[in-house]
This record gives sequence, C-alpha cells and structure tokens, in this order.
Amino acid sequence: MVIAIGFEGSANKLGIGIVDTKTNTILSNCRRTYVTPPGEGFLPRETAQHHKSKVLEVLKEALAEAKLSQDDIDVICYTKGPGMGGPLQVVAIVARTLALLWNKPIVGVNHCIGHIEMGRNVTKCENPTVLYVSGGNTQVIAYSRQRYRIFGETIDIAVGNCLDRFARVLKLSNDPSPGYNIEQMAKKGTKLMSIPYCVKGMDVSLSGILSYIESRAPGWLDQGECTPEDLCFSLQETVFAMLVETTERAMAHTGSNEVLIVGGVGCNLRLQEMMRLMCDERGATLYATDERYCIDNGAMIAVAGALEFETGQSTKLEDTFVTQRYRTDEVFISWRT
Amino acid sequence: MSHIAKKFKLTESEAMDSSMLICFKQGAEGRIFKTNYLGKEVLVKERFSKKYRHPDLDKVLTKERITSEIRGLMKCRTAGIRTPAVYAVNSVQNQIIMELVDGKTVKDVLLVLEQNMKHNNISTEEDNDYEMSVDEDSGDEEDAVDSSEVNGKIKNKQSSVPPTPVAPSVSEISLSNDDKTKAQTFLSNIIAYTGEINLSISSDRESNRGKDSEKSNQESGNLPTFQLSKDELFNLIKLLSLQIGQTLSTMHANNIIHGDLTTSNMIVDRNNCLVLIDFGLSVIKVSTEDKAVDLYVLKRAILSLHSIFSRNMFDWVLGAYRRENKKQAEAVLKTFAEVEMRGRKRCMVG
Ligand SMILES: Nc1ncnc2c1ncn2[C@@H]1O[C@H](COP(=O)(O)OP(=O)(O)O)[C@@H](O)[C@H]1O
Ligand SMILES: [Mg+2]
Repeated sequence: MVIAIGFEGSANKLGIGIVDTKTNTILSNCRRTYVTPPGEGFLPRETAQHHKSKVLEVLKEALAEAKLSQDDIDVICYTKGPGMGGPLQVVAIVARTLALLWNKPIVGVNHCIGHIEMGRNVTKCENPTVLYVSGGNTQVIAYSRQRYRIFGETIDIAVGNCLDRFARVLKLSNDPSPGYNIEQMAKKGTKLMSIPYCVKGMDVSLSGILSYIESRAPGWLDQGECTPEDLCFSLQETVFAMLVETTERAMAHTGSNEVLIVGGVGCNLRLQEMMRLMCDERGATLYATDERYCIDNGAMIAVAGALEFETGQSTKLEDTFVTQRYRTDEVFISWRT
Repeated sequence: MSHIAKKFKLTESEAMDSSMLICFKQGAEGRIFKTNYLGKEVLVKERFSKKYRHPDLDKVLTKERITSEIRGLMKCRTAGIRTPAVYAVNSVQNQIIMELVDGKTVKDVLLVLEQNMKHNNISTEEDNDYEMSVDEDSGDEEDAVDSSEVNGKIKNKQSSVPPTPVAPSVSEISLSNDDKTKAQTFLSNIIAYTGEINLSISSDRESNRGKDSEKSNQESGNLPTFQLSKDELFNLIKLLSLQIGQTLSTMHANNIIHGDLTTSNMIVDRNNCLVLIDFGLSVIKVSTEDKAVDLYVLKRAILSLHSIFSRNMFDWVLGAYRRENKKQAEAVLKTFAEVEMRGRKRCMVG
C-alpha cells in the first residue's frame, strides 16, 4: 500500500499525478498540453521545451491538490518509453533528481502498460482484450503468462497519427486535439466516401488510407463532391470499423468476452459506440474511460509503477534512462497471475 | 461454448433441410451452424450484417468476403491443398454451405499440448528471448525518425541510424521416420478426442474470477491427458509445423494470399491432414510483399496465443516453407524481414 507519484511526458502532454493504492484513489492528476497551430505537428525540441517550462508548476499543483508534501510520497514513477527522446528525457531528469533529493525509490514505467493498468483500474475489468489506440500506437493486446501480448497492430502508421495528419490536410485546429475536432465534425457528416479498407488478419494498415485521402480530398472538396464533414465521417467510419473488426477477430481467437479501450483515440465516442455494438452482438462487455484517463496522464504512470513497486521491485538509478522504442510485450508483468 | 439452438428460415429455392440449425461457433466474421443438406451433415457459415458498420460499407465488405472465400477455397483445391468442399451459396442470407471437416483446429491441438505440458511439468525456456526490440537506441537528443513521422516531413531522416532488416531465423526440421510415425499416432489420438475443448488464454490462471473461470477450470479438467515426454511433444509440433510450412508454400506458389493466417483457421482432420479454412480476407496476387505479410500475420498469431511454443514453432514453419520452395522462400523471407523491421522502427509517441 503506497502513495505513488507519476510523471508522464512522452508526447505533447505533460502530466503529473498522485495515487494512493491503499484507498485506490487518484489524489491528483494535473496536465498541460503543448498545442501547435493548425496544420502543424509537434516537434521534439519545442515539446521538450514546453515540458521543461511547465514541469515544476505542474508538480507543485499536483502536490497541492493531493494535499501532500514530499514526505508523504513512497515511490516516484516516470515514463521510460516509448515516446519522443527529448520530452521523455526532460521528465526523466526531473523524476531522477527528485528521487535523489527526496531519497525515494524510483520506477521506470512502460507508457503502454500505464494505459492498460489505468484502464483496468478505473473500469474494474479483469482480463480484457485491450484495444490501445493513440497517436503512436495501435495494438490489440491480451494478457497471457506474465506478458501483455500483442495480437494485432498496425503494420505501418498508428491510427492517431493517421487522424492527426488528416486533420492537417483540412487545417483543423489542434486545440484541444485534432482527433477531438475530427470527431465533432464527423457528427455533421452524412455521405460515406469510398476509401480503402485494409485489414490483414488481426493487423491493420493505415498509410494507404492516409495517402489516398491526402491525394483525393482536395479534388473532392473543390468539385463539391463532399464536405469536410463528410470526409471526417468517412474516415472515422472506415478506420474505426477496421479497429473493431480486428478486435473482434482477436476475441474469437482467444475466446475472450471483455474489451477495454485505452489510449487517446479511445475517448472517441463513436469508436466506443461501434465497439459496444460489436460486443452486444457477441454477448461481450465493453469497458472504456473518458478523456481524464484515456489521454496521457501522470496518474496512469503512478498506477502501473505502484503495481510493480508493490511486488518488491524498483529501478536502479543507473537504469533510469529513457528509450524511444519500448514494446508493450517486452515488459515482464510480475503483478498478475 | 454454449450451444444455442436457433431456428431460421431459408429461401424456398434452397434445397436445404430447414430444421433446427445449431450454432456451434461464433467466429470473428460470422456464425457457424451445423445442419443437414441433401442427407449430409454440413457446415453453414453465415455472415450476418454487422451493426457497428455503416450499412453501405457493411454490404460491400460482406459481398467481397463471400466472393473471396469461395474463390480462395476453390483455388486451393485446384492447387492440391485440402480445403472444405463448397456445396452451395445462399446469397440472400450470405451463407456458404460447405463440408464439415471432422477434426480439430491447430489452435485446439496446441492448447491441448500446452495443457499437457503443464500437467506433466514440462517447461520450455521460451520466454527468455521473447521478441525483444533488436535496436535499443536510448534517447539521444533530437529523434529524427520521430520528428519526421510526427510531422510528415522526411527531411531529418538521414541523421537517424539507418534501419537494418534482420533476417528471420529459420530452422530445418529434423524428424526421423520413427519419430514421425509416433507423432502421427499422438496427433490421431488428440484429434479423436471428442469432448468439448474450450480453453481461453490465461482464464485458467486468473485466481479471483467468477463463474467463467470455474467453468473453464472444469473444462480444462476434462481435457485428455497424454503421457508425452518433452521430445515427443516437440516432435508433434515439428510434424504440425512441417505440414503448415509445406501447405503455405504451395499456397503462395499459386499466388493465393490467405489474409488471416492463424491457428484457428487451420484444421487437422481425421487423417492428420491439414485443412485450411476461412478465406474471407484472401486475395489472388503475385506479390512478395503480401506473401511476407501473410507469414508475418501467422508469426504474430503463434507468438501471442502459443507463446509457450513460439520459440521453435514459427522457425520450423519457415524451415518447411523454405525447404518446399527455395526460390520463393528467399524472396519472401527477405521482404518478411523488412515488414518486421517496419513494425519495430515505427514511431510510438503517445
Ligand atoms: N468446414 C469446417 N469444418 C469444421 N469446422 C469449421 C469449418 N469451418 C469453420 N470451422 C470452425 O469454425 C471456426 C470459425 O470459422 P471461420 O471460417 O474461421 O470463421 P471466422 O471468419 O468467423 O473466423 C473455425 O475456427 C473452426 O473451428
Ligand atoms: Mg477464423
């Protein structure tokens, strides 16, 4: 039973959260997002700069909101990877410094495992098939024998990346996120444009869809064949159908009847609705969370780090580096049976 | 799986006994029923409309997949690969009426073997080298690959380490005639076991679950146990891998891409013969890339569900695949390495 603080900064969100595993409560979960102008993505250097300028302010806020002081913290958890090198490093250095300064143990956490454990914790599902969809990841995961095993994934770009780059074609705002704005526009779309549908077993391919839409969209819009809203609608309907289909295929393969959606794209309500319809047809149950937990945050790193810490493990200081590529199935899951 | 009896109507023109259909499997794409057709016990695969999909997309996909499935099944037959015979197609209800193969899926055979391994306390060392990323470039300052991916610009690319594809490991299968015969006998015994097999991954390991786990514990308690030594067990896996590799090589040589190669989509029949099923995602294509992705999909399916055997099994499949057709295998495996590398090199931000 510990009080854990989690530091997350692998992409454009900086999050610091504090959890108490004794009462299983999130004491605070503070976040800042680095928002770029329409048509632009976030670059590592500027993102790292953003995190650096905000990290102390967010830390103070997280402690104040939790009504705790540094002495109350039992363990410091930080995102070890995957993610962007620069931003990861900024946050890791802060976590490492605090571990030395406060004389606390430190645990490096895999970002994807953070999402999964947070989702399991919030929704209380036992052994779900997990759809993990975010800016950099698209994976269908299930637990077996001490690992989260990847059953399906994108064979090229991630779904969030596909949505973000599509948003740039339409010059949509990045505030609060491109995906959110696509979702709102899609609600007003009605015409389903025919775009490629590409599923390979439990894997999906998205780069072909993106380049198809990038090349056709300007022409379609000029000739009034469809509206930007229709494009958002068509992209969502097609891409989400692929994700639901591969999730269903993994469920059939593993005999599972729970689905958990995690990751930033996971708070899209249309995706959740489609997944729920699929689950209903199979007599399965859907578990999903809202943007507080789906989108990168510090509490999820604290939750996963605490699980590891409670099995008696922590990360040696010399091993508290960051790694840009760190697969979900590399992590040995000591806390599950 | 619970047996749901379901009554449903067939069009008048179908010469089909419209008795009760027994839904005995809910696959990923459709429901599978057993019924009588012209006095024979047959299997009906029905693709019902998926409510989660836009109706236009649903219609297109359903038609496409039925067409692909029939084409794939037929093409394989012509190429000498065992697939269920297609008896009839009901395009109104999107049904394919086909031969019911008497046998077990490779998945079930492997799960029985895994269960037996645990029962006989046999262990493998598989997990020590489970698919680690080959390259661990820990965060040095600016990451060019990431920035180029995230921004859709390629300009910084040269400053990153050039990605190098790693050739997949391929193991030749050595299996003496004696061992082979023995493995055949064991396999027949497993196939002949007629009880229900319903193992889902890890459900037997979750200690604090409700009814579900009790149920599956009971079922796994009913599983046949065989006294297999570790060698015998691996010989059996070699035998399966050999058949899988050979069959896939022939399939690819005929430019048939299966599209959904998993151990659920392979059945071993009563003659220990490998039967390929589920061709809904298949395409006919002369494409090394697609053949490589086909194998990649299979590798992932084996690695994820059968991790206990994955260390050897896929290498053996590739060994048999290569032995069958060297020229094809060389090209496909080269592309396979590239496909795999793409997965590893992918930007994983967020
Ligand atoms: N011809 C057949 N004979 C015996 N069993 C079959 C046959 N076809 C399918 N099955 C069983 O039904 C399951 C689902 O069928 P499949 O064709 O793979 O559908 P899906 O596309 O839904 O996965 C298979 O895994 C297999 O166990
Ligand atoms: Mg199938």
